Amino acid sequence: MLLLSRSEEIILLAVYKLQGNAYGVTIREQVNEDIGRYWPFGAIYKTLKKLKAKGYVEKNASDPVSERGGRTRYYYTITPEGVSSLEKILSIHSAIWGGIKGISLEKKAK
Amino acid sequence: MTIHKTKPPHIPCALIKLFLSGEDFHEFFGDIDEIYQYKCACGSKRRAKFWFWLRVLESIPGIILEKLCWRTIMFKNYLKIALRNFKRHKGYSFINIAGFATGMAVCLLILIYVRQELSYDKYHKDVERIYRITQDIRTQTSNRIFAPVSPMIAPTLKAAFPQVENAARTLPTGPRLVKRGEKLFYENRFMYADQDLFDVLTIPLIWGNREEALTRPQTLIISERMALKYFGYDNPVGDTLEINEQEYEITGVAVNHPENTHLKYDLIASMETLADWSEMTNWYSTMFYTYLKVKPNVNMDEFSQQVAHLADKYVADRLAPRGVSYNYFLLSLTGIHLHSPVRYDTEPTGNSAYVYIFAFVGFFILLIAGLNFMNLSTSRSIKRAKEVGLRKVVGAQKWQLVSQFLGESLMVSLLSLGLAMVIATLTIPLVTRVTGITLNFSQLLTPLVLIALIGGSILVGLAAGTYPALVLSAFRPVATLKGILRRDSRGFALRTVLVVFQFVISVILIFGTLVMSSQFNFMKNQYLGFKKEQKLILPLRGGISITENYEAVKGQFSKHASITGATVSSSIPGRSLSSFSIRISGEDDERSQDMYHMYFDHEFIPDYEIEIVAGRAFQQDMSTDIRGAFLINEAAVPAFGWSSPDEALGKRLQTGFGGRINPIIGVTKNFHYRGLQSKVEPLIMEFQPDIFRYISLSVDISNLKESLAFIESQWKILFAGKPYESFFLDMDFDQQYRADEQIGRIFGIFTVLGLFIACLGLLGLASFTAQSRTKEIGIRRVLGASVLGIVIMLSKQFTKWVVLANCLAWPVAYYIMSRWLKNFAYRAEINILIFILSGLLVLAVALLTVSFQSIRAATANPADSLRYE
Repeated sequence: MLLLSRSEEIILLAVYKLQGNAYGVTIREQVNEDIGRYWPFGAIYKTLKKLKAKGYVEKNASDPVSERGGRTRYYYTITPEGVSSLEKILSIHSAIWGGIKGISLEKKAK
Repeated sequence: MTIHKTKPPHIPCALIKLFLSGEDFHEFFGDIDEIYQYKCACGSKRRAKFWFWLRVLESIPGIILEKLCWRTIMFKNYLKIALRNFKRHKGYSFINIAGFATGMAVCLLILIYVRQELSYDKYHKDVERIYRITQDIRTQTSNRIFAPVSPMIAPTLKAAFPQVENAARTLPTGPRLVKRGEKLFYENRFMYADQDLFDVLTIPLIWGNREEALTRPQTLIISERMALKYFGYDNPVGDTLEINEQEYEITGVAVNHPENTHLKYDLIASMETLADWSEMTNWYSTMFYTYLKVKPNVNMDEFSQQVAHLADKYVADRLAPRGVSYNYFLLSLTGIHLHSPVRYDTEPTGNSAYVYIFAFVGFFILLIAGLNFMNLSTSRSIKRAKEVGLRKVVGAQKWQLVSQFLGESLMVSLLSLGLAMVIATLTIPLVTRVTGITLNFSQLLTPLVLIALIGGSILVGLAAGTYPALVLSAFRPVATLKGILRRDSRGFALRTVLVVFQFVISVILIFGTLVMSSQFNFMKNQYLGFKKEQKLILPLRGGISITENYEAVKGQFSKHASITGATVSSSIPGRSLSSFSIRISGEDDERSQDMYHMYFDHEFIPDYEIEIVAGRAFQQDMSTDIRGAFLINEAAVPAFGWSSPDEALGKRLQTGFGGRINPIIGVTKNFHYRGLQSKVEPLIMEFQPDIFRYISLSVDISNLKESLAFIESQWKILFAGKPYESFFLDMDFDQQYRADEQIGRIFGIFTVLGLFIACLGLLGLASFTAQSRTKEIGIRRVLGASVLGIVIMLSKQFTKWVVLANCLAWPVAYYIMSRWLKNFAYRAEINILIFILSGLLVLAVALLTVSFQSIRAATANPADSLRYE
């Protein structure tokens, strides 16, 4: 299985959370919600492209949308491979963060 | 569909459009526009615009980076394909790179040489204001230009011309015997110089005071090299050296002279040493090389005119009646090496013609190599038609293909540059050994030159790659994939022209080499009018005088049976002679004639086997012959206006102004006392024991080792404490041709390289032709054609080209080489044999190259060749 970078992980999770309503604008909002910062669009597309190349997301053009002045939206949906990759990440995360309640400068008391 | 209420700002839109296209653009633009419209609807427009700007700008770096990332992926692919191609076609790649690299290496070497020749004396400070004054002595009949002038010139310049900042004299002399303790050597680069020299030229001192280094008599500046030789690493200032048995105090150590100066020095003694010498006030002597520095912003035209007649005031009343005038002109210091028109220069000067010739040759060789490269790449492009077709089908744009192939050719050219640098570095010692010219590779390592080299090779790479790149990218994909190749007959014609052109240049180079070597052979083998073989010369240097006892000295050497003759003279053929004016004594006609002169004893003429055409040679038993008679050569007879040698006999000549008056007792046949570059000029000979400088021994070479040992032992008895030195006359005489021969050798090397590169080109073309006719050859073979027949068929075309190249090259080569031969007074004919030989040689090499390919094509199994394509 291909490992994901942190940015890929964030974007993939955003797409997963948006449940079919994922396109540039919403993904950006979601990322802001998750990590408290707006990413540049360029960075988002770049990551999406990588995810697409790995086969974790699919990209589909919608019918023309009126809010966009008759332009299409490009929607991203997560693939089964993407989902299993997220599962894997989750298990790894819980494994490496397991048992840690909080982080501070002092050493863990014995 | 709603109409846009607000148009997004223009510039950022254009920016995104610049970097993105198609889907990417629509996605990006659509997304930010969606938010923009929303922001416009419920907020300030300006804010929205600002927001739009920010979003675009923050995204652009990422987009560019990503693009680059994709580019590098394509680039990696190109690189991989290029390397695979190199590997698959090793022979071809080798030819291509080796040919190009060789061409460039030659170019580099020539570049070094040319730069070196052009850099002479440029290192002096304020060099554009430094001149050497030279003298033009005109009589009605002759016009001689001297580099050295009278010692009075420098002081006069300083006193009489406000434009002159400073002027200095130097007086280089012959070799000096230098002694310190046990160390005893002859040193060649000894000269006297004024203190002012340091203000005119740049001669930095390591030790010693620059301001007063040469102000006192018997003071001496030595070069670093000399300091090391005689004093080791100690500071020698204040110490003494003995030069020709005179003590000199060392007042300074100068840095070694660079190679690229016309004034090379090792020992510089103060001019003050010579203060009491009578010559120092002689307006008529020509011995002192005089340099001057003018003040800034001097009108040089005006100054040159004033200088031209600066001596008239002092010399005109004596010279004018004789029809002689002294004219002075200024030669810029940097021009001395290449453009000095004068006699008696301090160093053998370069020849600007050779510099230009080499620059041209270098350019042409690079041109050949570049053309070749282009030729080979184009002809090989057929091989890659399928790749191109596939790339096109998969979606490669034309510009991508063009840049791929340009990139490949750039890669090859840069690779070749690297290889060329290596080749040049490795061959410099070889070139130095073969030609005797020291080349300095560090010349190339200045940033400017490096940038120029890299830029140049990129340019050549682009130029060479453009044609194949355009041809390749223009292939129609369907056709190439089907295997139908458009045989571009125009392209073929171009390639033919290029190959013919290469051979034209090769023929010219070979022709030149042949003419040069025939000239050098001619000069070496021509009978010079005297016997130059088996003469051992012992130069008398370091203050040895045999005026009183020359007969006894000769007797000492003649004791040995294998020494069949001994004679003494002031000079020997091939070594420098001095000249002075001679006039017919007693006649009203005050005209004088400049003549070289030579002093020798009565045995010189018989020993050297010089023929006498009228009168007699000097005789031992005639005491009046000593200092009392002249011999002249045949060339001097018409110069004085006599119709035959017999008429000259008994005429009285006077040397110099108010010198000796003696009768002519004999006329010798012309003999070449100087190399064959120069005409035999009038020569006057005298039996004058005062200035004997050479002993010539006729040695029977059957027992050479023993004779040489005997001669050396006799020398030690006769001249104890003076180092023994000897050389053979013929070798020494041929030294005069060294500079020309060096050039000849270099030219030969270039010729071989040029031919090599041209053959590479031919090889490429031959393989191309053989390949494109594979099927035809197969059919012919099946139908019963012999291998030989096919080889001949394939070679015929090339033969035609080479013959054509010969026809084009001969007239050009003939013209150039006859111009070159004009440098020599006595020259070999350009033989018809040279035409034929140069033609045949090129033809043979070309056929050999082609036959390699055609035999392979002809002997291939016809079954395979019929299946080809």
